[in-house]
Amino acid sequence: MSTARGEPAPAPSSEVTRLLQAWSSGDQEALQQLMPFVYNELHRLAHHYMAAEKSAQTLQTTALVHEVYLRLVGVRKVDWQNRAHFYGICARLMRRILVDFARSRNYQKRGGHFPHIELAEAATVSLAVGSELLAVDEALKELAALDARKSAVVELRFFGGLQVEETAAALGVSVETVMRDWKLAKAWLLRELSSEK
Amino acid sequence: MNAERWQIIETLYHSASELSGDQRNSFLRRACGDDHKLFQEVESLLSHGSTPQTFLDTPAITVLAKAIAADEHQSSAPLLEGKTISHYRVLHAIGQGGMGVLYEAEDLKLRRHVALKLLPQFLARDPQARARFVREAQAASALNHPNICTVYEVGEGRGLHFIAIELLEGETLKERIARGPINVSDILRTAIEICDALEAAHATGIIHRDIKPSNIILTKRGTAKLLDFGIAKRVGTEVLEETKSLSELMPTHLDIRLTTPGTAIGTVAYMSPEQASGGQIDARSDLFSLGAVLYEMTTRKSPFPGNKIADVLEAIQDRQPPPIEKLTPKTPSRLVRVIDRALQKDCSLRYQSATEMKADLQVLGRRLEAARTTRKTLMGLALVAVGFSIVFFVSLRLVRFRQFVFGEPSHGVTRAIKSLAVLPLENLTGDSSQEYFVDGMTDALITNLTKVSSLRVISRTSAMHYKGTRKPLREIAGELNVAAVVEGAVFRSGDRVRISAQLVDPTNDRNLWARNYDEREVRDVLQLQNELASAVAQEVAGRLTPDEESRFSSKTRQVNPEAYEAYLKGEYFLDKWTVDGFAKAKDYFAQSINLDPSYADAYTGLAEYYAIVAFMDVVPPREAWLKAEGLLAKALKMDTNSSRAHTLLGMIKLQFRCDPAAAEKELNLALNLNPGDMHALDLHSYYLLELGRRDEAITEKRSVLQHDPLRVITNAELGLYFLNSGRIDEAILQLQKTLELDPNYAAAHMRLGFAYEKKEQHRQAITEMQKAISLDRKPDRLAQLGEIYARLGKRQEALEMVRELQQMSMQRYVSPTNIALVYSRLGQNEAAIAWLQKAKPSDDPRISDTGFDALRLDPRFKTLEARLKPDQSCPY
Repeated sequence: MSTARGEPAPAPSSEVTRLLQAWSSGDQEALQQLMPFVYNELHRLAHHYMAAEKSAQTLQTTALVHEVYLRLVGVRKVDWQNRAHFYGICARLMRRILVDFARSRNYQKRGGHFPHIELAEAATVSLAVGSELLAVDEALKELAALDARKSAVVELRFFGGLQVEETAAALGVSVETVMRDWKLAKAWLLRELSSEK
Repeated sequence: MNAERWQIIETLYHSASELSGDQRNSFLRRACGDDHKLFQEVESLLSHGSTPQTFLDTPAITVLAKAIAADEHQSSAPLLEGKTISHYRVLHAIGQGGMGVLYEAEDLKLRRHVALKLLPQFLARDPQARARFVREAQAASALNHPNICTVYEVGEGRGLHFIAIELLEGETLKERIARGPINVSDILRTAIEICDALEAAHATGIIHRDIKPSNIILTKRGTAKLLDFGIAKRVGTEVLEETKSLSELMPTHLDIRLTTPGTAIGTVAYMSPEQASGGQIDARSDLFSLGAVLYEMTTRKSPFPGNKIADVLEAIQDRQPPPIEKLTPKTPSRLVRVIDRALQKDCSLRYQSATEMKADLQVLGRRLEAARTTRKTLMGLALVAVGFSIVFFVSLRLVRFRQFVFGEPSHGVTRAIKSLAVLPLENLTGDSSQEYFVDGMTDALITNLTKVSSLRVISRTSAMHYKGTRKPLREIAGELNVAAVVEGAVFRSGDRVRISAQLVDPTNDRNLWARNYDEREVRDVLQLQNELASAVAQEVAGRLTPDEESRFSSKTRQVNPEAYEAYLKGEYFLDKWTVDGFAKAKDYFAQSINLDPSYADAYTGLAEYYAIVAFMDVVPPREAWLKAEGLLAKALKMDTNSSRAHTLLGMIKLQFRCDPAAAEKELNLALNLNPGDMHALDLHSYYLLELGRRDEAITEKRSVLQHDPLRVITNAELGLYFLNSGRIDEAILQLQKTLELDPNYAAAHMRLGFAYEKKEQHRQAITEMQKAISLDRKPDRLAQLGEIYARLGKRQEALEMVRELQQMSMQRYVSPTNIALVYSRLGQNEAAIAWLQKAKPSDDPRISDTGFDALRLDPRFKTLEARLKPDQSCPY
């Protein structure tokens, strides 16, 4: 066990910070390396819901998603300015990875290249949710063309899971502005998704 | 849509959304006018915006996770029952493991029931998750241990990945904790078993990394089984390689379980600080987690509570858990210490191995076992005479074994010990009224150990500071500057007594030696104390000198249990140092003598009572001295080997008989009998000081202090010795140190004041003296400050002191000399002479004091001098 006591490994937070920076400046390799983090988080949450299913417990999701950041970049050690900055990058990252995940899942469900799993025919919920997620992503692109800030608010709130205050800080606007933007953007998106324009 | 129009829509939307129903409609119609498209646009947004809770209000990751979970539930369980995977027939689901669903299944080949763990399908697609799943199986199957759940097979069938493991019937520790309090012996059993499992895992280089109550199963027989090596990690050469991979850096085991909505507890609660901060992890991380589990088993509370995971993680890294004895007051303090040690944030301060932690738990287990058997015996079960049988603890053997294996010299560990502290023995009787008995045992152990010349044993005053302490031994040893610590426990019921004791190396909390003395009768307690001390002495000192041997082997007699009891109570009350306590002590000693007129110690105790009251003027001193002297003569006739009796007699010779030669003889006898008798040495140093052999006196006083470093009085006295020897700087340092121990010790402030005055630092001198007076307004202190004021020309202040002294003299005794001295210093000779004339020889007239120099030419002073000059003979 002697080797384990030697030099401490670089904290994962600094590694992730580096990768996030690399990715935000266009390094697609970094995305591949970041994916396991978000996947793990997703699996972890899924596990939780599986375990909690029986007693139909609910999670305080806002608090939970917050933890993603804590673990991703160790926000406790990052100052507020930087934290706001990283929240932005993280939200974008999560959007990208989650949408990719949903997309790949849809693809697989339609008879993709994965080994046939005999007993897993009934996975319908995630299929529906996956499509919904893809639709939000698409609609959000349109919203961005119309009103970039509102699109950013949705990215931070929905994909990033941020609180109103954190969203405000990440965008450098007031809390009231975020609340108003969020309200209108949601209405807009819901209308868009219900496709009764 | 252009930006301008969007802006209009936005403004209208927000304005309208603040209105309701009709108002909103008419507002919009008015605002939009003919622009129907605009009206429609805003209205449709408003209608979609009115949905209170949409899926957009839940973070995307949660939405997705919930969907995945729902899929798993829909698909797997019902479909699998009755199906065969590889050679296992699935019977029914039995739970959710950390990494998959668990089924009970029948092994069709071996015809036995097993637990089958299936990797969820969404994870099966993830190569990393698959790898982890296999790793769990590999890690656990490498371990064949009764407290680790056995892994039979890892395999694949019907496109499903599974692990077949031992089917365990029972409940998880998590369920057990939730069910109700767990008794200490069950806690210990589980703790020892899990330590054992970890010992095995760590020995093969596997760290579990996810020790938590839900990963421990208690079988119906009560055996603990450790589960889920899902995130176990191999350490060794692979470590560096592994840490480079990001998946390894990710704390994957953070599967959060919420028991009640809004309360986030879960496995984060059991993470070690290095896990919480993503640092390098080794075996000691598992020990921290086990500490957290033990904390919860003991208190049924999390050591690091918090509503948010961030708070929990922060608590793990930065906060101390709420003290166990506040939550569960009856917890044995040794268990508290084990848990505290396991929960040290700094892993170098923790147990360094599961083996070490297990050894401590085992010692504790045996102690409790000892207490329990005694209780049983007393409940009327067959009493087995155990005589002198001695039980060696396994830990002792372990130490020996380790020495053997690692080539340490077999006498190397304990041989270097030159100093030790006996911590107050623990009262396992569960009856606080037995405190005096247990303290008496501690006392006797200390006294007996001081017979070893080469050993510095901390005196009882300093040792008693640590009664019921939670301080780590390392810290205690540091404060007392000792190389080893003796800890132990006493159980007593009626006329039976049991003792267990350990000698501990405080640098690593390792037991160097441990022994359990089975039931004895109280009448044999002196023999027991002697045996225990002699065993410890042999352990630390190796070969005893012939003198020491004889000190230990000197025949101890049986005592009458009731007389012994009364004697211990006498000691206990004497130690309280209150007028009421003295009276009680006297009664108990007398009672003891009545019960057993041949019990020497009782006479000595009573003699000490008289000596103390003589000093304190509680009774007329002369009679008290005489009584003490008579009692000691009797005591020494019965037991000439009592160093305490000789010491007391020495004091009487010095103080009462004013016979330094006789005093020295007695003190030397005492020190020969017991070189570590600090009372004797202390008195001897005083004797040297009286003779003017100041440096020698200081050397001895220093030695006394080393044995009793926390005793405030001794510290302050050393300050006084320095002061009287003109070593002012040392006096100042020593007195400052004393005041660190007790900032409110008036005498030390006073002496420090004198020291500053000698250095002409008047301001500091006055401050210190004022402080001393504010703590305790003794007349001589007022006078001494008054003299300084007078010398410095502060007449008003000096007169103020005189006024107060005069006032005080109406209520209590104030020596007229005190007032005379201040007047003399002020140059008010008439007043000074007048007050001095009131003095009697017994008023401590200090006629040769330099303060009276101004009066010496006055013929009246000559007369006074003749009348008041100190009696050549003894004052008594």
